[in-house]
Amino acid sequence: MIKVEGLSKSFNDNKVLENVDLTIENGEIVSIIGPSGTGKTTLLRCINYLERPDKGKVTIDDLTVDADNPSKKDIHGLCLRSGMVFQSYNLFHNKTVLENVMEAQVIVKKRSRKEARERALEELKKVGMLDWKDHYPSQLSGGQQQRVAIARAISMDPSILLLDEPTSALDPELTKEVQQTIRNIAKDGMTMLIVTHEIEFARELCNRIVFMDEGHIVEQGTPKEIFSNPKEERTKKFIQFLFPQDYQIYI
Amino acid sequence: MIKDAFDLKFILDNLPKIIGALPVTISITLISLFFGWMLGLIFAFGKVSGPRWLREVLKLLTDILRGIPTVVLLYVVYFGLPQIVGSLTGASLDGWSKQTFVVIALALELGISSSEMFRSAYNSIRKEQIEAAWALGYTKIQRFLKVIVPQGLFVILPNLSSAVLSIIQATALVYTLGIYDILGKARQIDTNEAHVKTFEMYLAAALIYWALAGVVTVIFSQLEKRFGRGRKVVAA
Repeated sequence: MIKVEGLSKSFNDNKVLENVDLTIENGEIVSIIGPSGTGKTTLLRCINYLERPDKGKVTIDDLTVDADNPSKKDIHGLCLRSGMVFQSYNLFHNKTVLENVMEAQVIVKKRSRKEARERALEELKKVGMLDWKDHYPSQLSGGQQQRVAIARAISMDPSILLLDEPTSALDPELTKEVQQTIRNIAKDGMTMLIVTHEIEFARELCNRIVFMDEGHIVEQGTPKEIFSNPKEERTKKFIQFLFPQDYQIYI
Repeated sequence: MIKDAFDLKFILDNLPKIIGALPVTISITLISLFFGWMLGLIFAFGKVSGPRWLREVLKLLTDILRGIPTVVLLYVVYFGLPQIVGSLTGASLDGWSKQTFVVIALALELGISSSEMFRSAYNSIRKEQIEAAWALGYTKIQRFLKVIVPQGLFVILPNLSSAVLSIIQATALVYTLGIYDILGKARQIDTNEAHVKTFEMYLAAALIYWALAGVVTVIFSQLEKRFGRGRKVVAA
């Protein structure tokens, strides 16, 4: 289980997150949607302290970290319990596909090289990148790099996978390919929190949609509730903006 | 004094003697490189993440030392350091070898010049690479050793290579303190021959320095291959 309580974050005087609460149960797949610049990515990055929140608590499983006095060990604990998939893939560009998936297992999880290799090959097979294991990231398409990045994150056995706009740097075809990979991961029961602008994908994949605007969670519910029957005015406007005319048709 | 014709045999006869001084040149080079780069890393760390006053002090020190010719710095350290230490603490540095002062001067100069290089290498590493390591649970030391060093090393290898070459060349100045390195030895032989073999002996020294530079270049091109992995797209 992952729980965010009273999370706030400002950049200089700009309040990006204000008092955000969010709970995700094990096995849930939750998507955060909303206009650009409303703190969706910042919320995700506060969970593993890539951005240090000003206030609030983050809980993953048995570990609760309070922004008031987080120890280095606690922050590290959040990273160990979560995995992250970045918009720009962020594979280590000086390492092959296989090394990318193996290295963290060896140096962070202290697995033997043999064990890490077997696990890496298994995960690469799942994302369909086994044939590319000896290539460098610069030799791969963006979609392929992102699939390797997913394999790398999954191989660390995180309690939750955080996906930060995983397909927004990709063209439509590659987007489909990465989305299919994420669907496969979902079938294995991985808990996921996804920031995305791919509304159709979120609607079809997720148990729950969280709508954010201006640093707040405005509304959350099942895809049906949010897309067919939004309660809040701001959600309605956003949905109408996304599906201008008879948006009901899509649902 | 009659200048003879070019004497190749004299060079070949005396080359082994000059090469005998190679350990002096190489040991001064290696020790200066070691302490210089250590100092460079420390200075770079201060420049990247030190408090403001420290950054200002390091910047000032950089500007001063860059403006001083190596040979002048060598003499300032050799004659000045014992006086400064003596008047501050009363301790005597008489027991220190000439090589020690040479190493201090060269390491200081290298430390300052390499700190700029280390700093720009650090800045060249893309933030996303470090964030990926953070999210995977790397500790600070693991991020440094597994991401920053291997990626930064590739960026600075050409600079490291030219730093090694310039230190080797700077060691040639130590003959002015009466140390018999390669150049010192070559000059000594020339002096013993009443300065009629000056060209031959300098040519011999040049050959040895050139060979040394060749070895350094080969070593670094191997290292560049090793650390340049993933940089070039190889046909799939």
